[in-house]
Amino acid sequence: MKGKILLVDDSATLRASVNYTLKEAGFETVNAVNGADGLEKLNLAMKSGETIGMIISDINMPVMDGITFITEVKKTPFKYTPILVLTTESEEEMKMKGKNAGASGWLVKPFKPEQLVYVTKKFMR
Amino acid sequence: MAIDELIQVFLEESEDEIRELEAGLIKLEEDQSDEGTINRVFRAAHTIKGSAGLVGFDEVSNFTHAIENILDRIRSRDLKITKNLISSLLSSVDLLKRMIGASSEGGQLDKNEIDNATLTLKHFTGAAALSEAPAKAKARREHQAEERIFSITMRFRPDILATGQDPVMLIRELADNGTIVECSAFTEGVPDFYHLNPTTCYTWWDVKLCTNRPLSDIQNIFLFVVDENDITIEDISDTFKQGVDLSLAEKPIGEILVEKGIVRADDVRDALRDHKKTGDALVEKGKASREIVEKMALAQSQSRKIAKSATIRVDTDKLDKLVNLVGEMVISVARMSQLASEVDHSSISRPLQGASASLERISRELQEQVMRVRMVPVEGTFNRFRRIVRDLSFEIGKKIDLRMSGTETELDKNVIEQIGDPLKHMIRNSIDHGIEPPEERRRMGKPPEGTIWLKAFQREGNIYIEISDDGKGIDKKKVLEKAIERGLADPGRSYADKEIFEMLFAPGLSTAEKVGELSGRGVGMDVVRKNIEDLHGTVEILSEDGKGSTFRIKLPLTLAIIDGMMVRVGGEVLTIPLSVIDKSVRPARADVKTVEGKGELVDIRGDYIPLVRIYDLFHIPSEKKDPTEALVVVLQSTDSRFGVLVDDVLGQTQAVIKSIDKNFKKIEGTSGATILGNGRVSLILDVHGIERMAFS
Repeated sequence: MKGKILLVDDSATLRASVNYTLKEAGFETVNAVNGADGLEKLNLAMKSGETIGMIISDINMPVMDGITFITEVKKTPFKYTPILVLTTESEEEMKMKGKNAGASGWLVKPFKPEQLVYVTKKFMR
Repeated sequence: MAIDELIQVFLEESEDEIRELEAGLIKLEEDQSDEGTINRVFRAAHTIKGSAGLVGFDEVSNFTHAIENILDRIRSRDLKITKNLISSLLSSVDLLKRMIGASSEGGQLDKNEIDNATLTLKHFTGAAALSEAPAKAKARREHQAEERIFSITMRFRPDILATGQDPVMLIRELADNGTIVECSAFTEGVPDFYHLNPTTCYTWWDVKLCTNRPLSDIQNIFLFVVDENDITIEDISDTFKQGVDLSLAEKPIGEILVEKGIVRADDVRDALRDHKKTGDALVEKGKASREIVEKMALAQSQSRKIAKSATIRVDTDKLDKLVNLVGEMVISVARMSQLASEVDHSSISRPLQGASASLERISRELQEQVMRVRMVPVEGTFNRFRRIVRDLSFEIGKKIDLRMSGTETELDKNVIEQIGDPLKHMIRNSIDHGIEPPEERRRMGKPPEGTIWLKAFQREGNIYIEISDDGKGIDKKKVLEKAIERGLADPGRSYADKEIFEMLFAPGLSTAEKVGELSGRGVGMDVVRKNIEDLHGTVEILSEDGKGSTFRIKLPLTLAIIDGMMVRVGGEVLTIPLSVIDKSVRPARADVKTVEGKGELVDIRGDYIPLVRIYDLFHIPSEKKDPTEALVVVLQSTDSRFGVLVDDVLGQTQAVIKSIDKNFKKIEGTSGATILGNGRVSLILDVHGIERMAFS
């Protein structure tokens, strides 16, 4: 396992649920409530020398949405960190946007815990 | 963390979000254009919807979805904010609060109340969504569509595993989206153990998936891998029935085993040389286990059984009668619609014309369907050539691989019957003269095994059949020498490649050093061309020195009916097949010239083309002898263009071809006759025949 997982989502319920699922599977998470907060958390992690092995992000969020967030991440030293999008959006157009911005995977909410764990393990290998 | 705790988090969160929703809606009532507020309100509903789903409050999630839909329309300015709308939304939010309360205590609200509120909300979107409704309904229909079977071939780049994608996960995802009927893994690329790199993907897969999801859903699974990997998704529902692959019925066992990744194509070729049953030979050589061969043989026989039960045998005589009757009907219908158009009385003519138009449409469809019944795939004919190629190439000591594509292309049964011999002749030509002996090929830097391609495809209302080889190509010099020797070409003239290839179709020309046992190139090519022209088709040759030759045959989709253009010459109406017409023009005086030795020429936008006076050719008395008062219809023959002079162009028609030589006698320059709407007979012009009559 390499580092923590940054979870970016404005829904407290979702964060609680993902945190629980990933913790059960042996992962550690850092939470952010929107894209801007996510960038801030990445910045903090870099300063404290903490590794972020993977990012899980929502699309529809206040302040800074997921697509902008992914685009911004690609400009930072975290540009090689895999980003899994976890969202209710299943429209192909939005998926394309996410993919073009640099997302590495797409999971549609509500997620199955085992599916999330499976994908996470894959990215965190 | 137990689910209770998660629900607690949700309750707290939803309380905040609902407060945001209420405040936002009230603000919107005052200031409709505040985009920030619209977005905030939308997001609040979106979050509640998602979170409610997560804690299993499905009713809450669904109802919030209805609210979200309206907010989305407000956001995209599809829906105007009214006092009425805001009131409805606010009371929906009240209901939402009570629903969440009830759900958290394990209870439920009255279903009617929720349904009514949902309906009220839908009422708002309904009015605005009228234009979009059909599209949505269509999407829903597609979703509930009948089950289709897709064949998904996945060839991954070797380093796929390093990119974080896992083929097995994709296959599992396919399984989540339907039922996997068959999954074949092709492992021929896996090296021996000592050369195996565990992080490299050597295998490729072919999955047959039965699903009621639309194609786009299946494509979405591969969204993140499709760019860098070779993924093809093909709808093969038509060849599947009751879970059995019908395409197996027509394939030999060896081909099936190769297709399923069980043995290699080379193994089958080796096995074929043993002159034993392919399956047995493969088992003896240890290439496949007895069980798997038997399993595939069983699949093949099952497929044959079903394929048989899905069809009935019909006497071709009956079919021909049906086609004739439909032809007669098309003529009668044309006659009727002409009569209908001549009725003056408006109270009768209007409905009569409507009725005859619909009759015309139905008869055209009927005609198409009947024609389709007579269509047969070329596969059967093509497969016959496997044996011929195998036997002949063996006999003369050449190695030749026959490859086919487009075997599912369908042709009229009569055409198929008549095309077999010309095809056989051209394939023999390729084997005998096209493909070089192995030693010579090796010297040329080519693989010792030559290849002959047999392709069929449909394009622009025509069927094409191509026979190509990667042999030495046609020796143009030798053809020309022979042609001069036979007096078919002028020694003083230089010829274009195309003209030289054309000479191959002249009667009695052979360029082989000695006429081969199988065929001499040129011997019989004139017969080949005649056979194809009898089918209203054309044939041309393409060839490149040292690289190979291609014979391209172009055939009409059907023999019995053509789209034609009716033209008038004197008192006669003639029909010209639409497929040969380039354009029609009325030339200016200055455009018509007479050149010695070439006859009359017309200038069509800088291009001088010969002019043929139809009334002269067919001895029809005509008044319009001056081209500037008549019309020139430009016809495209195999590789030349010429104009025919006609009095007038009358319009398009569907011409049912009737043979005149059967009933009367062969008339040169025509390919038959058709009966017009007014009951008169019209001759159908044959472009090649006219070309011959006028220029030779």
